[in-house]
Amino acid sequence: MRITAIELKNFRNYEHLEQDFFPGAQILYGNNAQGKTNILEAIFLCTCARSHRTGRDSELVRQGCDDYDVRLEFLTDKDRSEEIRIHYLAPVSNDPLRLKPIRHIYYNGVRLERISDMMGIFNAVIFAPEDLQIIKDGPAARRRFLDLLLSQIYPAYFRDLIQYQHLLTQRNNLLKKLRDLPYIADSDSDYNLHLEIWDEQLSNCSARIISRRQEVINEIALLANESISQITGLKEELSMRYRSSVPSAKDLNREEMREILLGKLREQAADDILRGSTGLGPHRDDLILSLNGIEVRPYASQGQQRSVVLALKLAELLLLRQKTGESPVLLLDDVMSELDGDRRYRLLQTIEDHQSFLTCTDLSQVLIGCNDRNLADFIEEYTLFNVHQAKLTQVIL
Amino acid sequence: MSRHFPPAISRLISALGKLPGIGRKGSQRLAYYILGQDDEFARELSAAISNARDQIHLCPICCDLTETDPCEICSSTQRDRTRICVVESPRDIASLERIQEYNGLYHVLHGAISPMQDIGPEQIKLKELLIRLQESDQITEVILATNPTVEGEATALYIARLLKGTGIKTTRLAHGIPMGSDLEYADEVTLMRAFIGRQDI
Ligand SMILES: [Zn+2]
Repeated sequence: MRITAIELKNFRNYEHLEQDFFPGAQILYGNNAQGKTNILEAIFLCTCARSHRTGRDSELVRQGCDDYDVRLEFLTDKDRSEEIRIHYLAPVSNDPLRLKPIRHIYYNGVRLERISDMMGIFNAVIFAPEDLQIIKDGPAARRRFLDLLLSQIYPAYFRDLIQYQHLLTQRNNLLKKLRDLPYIADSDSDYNLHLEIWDEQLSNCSARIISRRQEVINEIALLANESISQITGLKEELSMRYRSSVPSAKDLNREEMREILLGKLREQAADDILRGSTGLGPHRDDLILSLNGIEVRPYASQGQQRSVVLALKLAELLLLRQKTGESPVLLLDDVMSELDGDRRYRLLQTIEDHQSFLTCTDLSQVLIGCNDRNLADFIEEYTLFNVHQAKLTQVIL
Repeated sequence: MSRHFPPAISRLISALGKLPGIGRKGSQRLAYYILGQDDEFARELSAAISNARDQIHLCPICCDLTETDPCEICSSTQRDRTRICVVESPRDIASLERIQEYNGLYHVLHGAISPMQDIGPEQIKLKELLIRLQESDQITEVILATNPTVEGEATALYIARLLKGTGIKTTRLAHGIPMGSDLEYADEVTLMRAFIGRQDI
C-alpha cells in the first residue's frame, strides 16, 4: 500500500496541512523541531491509534487547541483507494459533555465502533530512535513490539489482548479484595470459586495469546536472521526465543497450555492474593534476543543494538507483507544519521519495493555517503520535501 | 469549541447525556427539543417518568420489573414451570419473549459479577435465585442467558458451579455469529462458541 495524501488539523505543530505523496521514497529534510517526525507520527497513528512516542493523545493536540484531526488517503496494492481518519477531542473542563476525551475513528467515512476494528486496515512499520527501547527497556517494550505486529496481522489477536487486560483487571481487583477483606475468604467456603470463574477465562485467553506469540516468533526469527547479515555484512546469527510463564510452551498445543496455566494460577493463588496482582501470564512473558549465542542486553554496543533492532524491523516489514499480501509503508525517523555508509546502503537496498518516509537533517545523509553512490542508484523513485516551520515544500534538485 | 449554556439547560443536557446511547450532540438536541415544546409536554414527560418510577417494582419471585404482584409470567398457568432462564436485565426478557421460542420462567440478576465495579455475587439477585431453586422441586433446568461478556461469562460459570451436583441441569446459550456479519470478522471466542454450539439442520 502507499499513501497518496495526508491532511492534518491542529496536530502537533501543524495548524492545517494538506500534502500529496508519491511512490517510492519520500525524503523529509530540514532542521530539528520543524515538524518532520510529526508527519511520521501522524502516519503511524493511523495503524493503531497510538503514537510511537507517547501514550497521551493530549500531547498530540496543537497548543491552544482542543482537538486534532488526521486523515490519510492511501492506495492498496490491489489498487483500492481507502481512507483512515482519526478525530480526537481533548477534555474540556467547563463543558459537561466533554469531561472525558473522545476519539472517533473513520474508515472510508464510516465510523468504527472499536479501535480493534481499525487494526490491519493501514499497515506501517516505524523505525525511530525510540525503538532501541526494545533492547534497552524491560520486557514490556518487547511485548509491545510482538503485540503490535500480531495485531496488524490478526485483528482478532488485538481483541484477545483487550479481553485479557480486562480479565486481568477483574482478577486483580478480586485479589485485592480477598487480601484486604479476609473475611470474604474465611467466611465463604467457596472463595476459590470467586477466583475460578476468572481463572477459567484468563487461562483460555492466555493460551490463545501465547500460542500466537510463539508462532510469530518462529516466523520472524527466520527473517530477522537473514536481515542481520544483510545489514552488518557479516555472518551473524540472530535468534529469538519466547520466555513464557508456561514451561516448554513451544511443545504444547493450546488446550494443554490452557490446562497448565489454569493449574499454575490455582497453585499461585495464595501468593497472588498477598501481592494483590496476578504473577504469571502473557503480561509477564518476554522475548529473548541473542546474537551469536549471546543474549543482547542493554550493555551491548550501540552499533550492535541498532543492527539488531533494524533487523527486527525489516523482518517485521517482510512478515507483514507475507501475511497480509500488502506491502506496509516504512517510516524511518532519523535513522540514516545513526548508520555508517555501508549499513545505509544495505538498508536502502532492502526497502526499495516499499513506499518509505525518511527524515533527516542533512540531505547528504541520504544522497551521498553510500559508497560514493547516489540515492538514485538504489531507489528508482524518490521525492524530496523541505520541512520548515510546519510547511512542506517539494524540492527538485 | 466549548459552549456556555445557561445553568438550567446545562443541567438538563448533562442529565440526558447520562442516558444510555445518548451522545454529546444527541443530548443537546433532546434538551432543545423539550424546551421547544409547550409546558404541557415537559410536565407530562416528567410525570410519566416519576409515575413509572413509583408504580414499577421488582417481582418478588423473578425480580423482573412489574406492576402486578407477582409478575405476569410468574403468575401465568400457561408457562413451563420446570425451567428458569437467567438473564442480567429485564430488557433481556423482552428480547427473549419476542422470539417466542421459550415458554419457561425467568430470573433477573440485575447485573453481573464484576470485582472492578465492586459487584460480587452478593450484589446481584443470586441469593433470590438459589432460594427459589431450593423452595421448588419442579425446576429441572436452569438456562444461563447472561451476556456474552467476560462478566456475563463469569456469572454463568459461578452459577453453574454452585448448581453442580444438585441434579438441576445447567445450560448456556450458544452465542453465535451475529446475523449479517462476516465469519472473517468474528472474534475467536465467538467463532469457537458458535462452532461448539452448532446444530443439525
Ligand atoms: Zn416474576
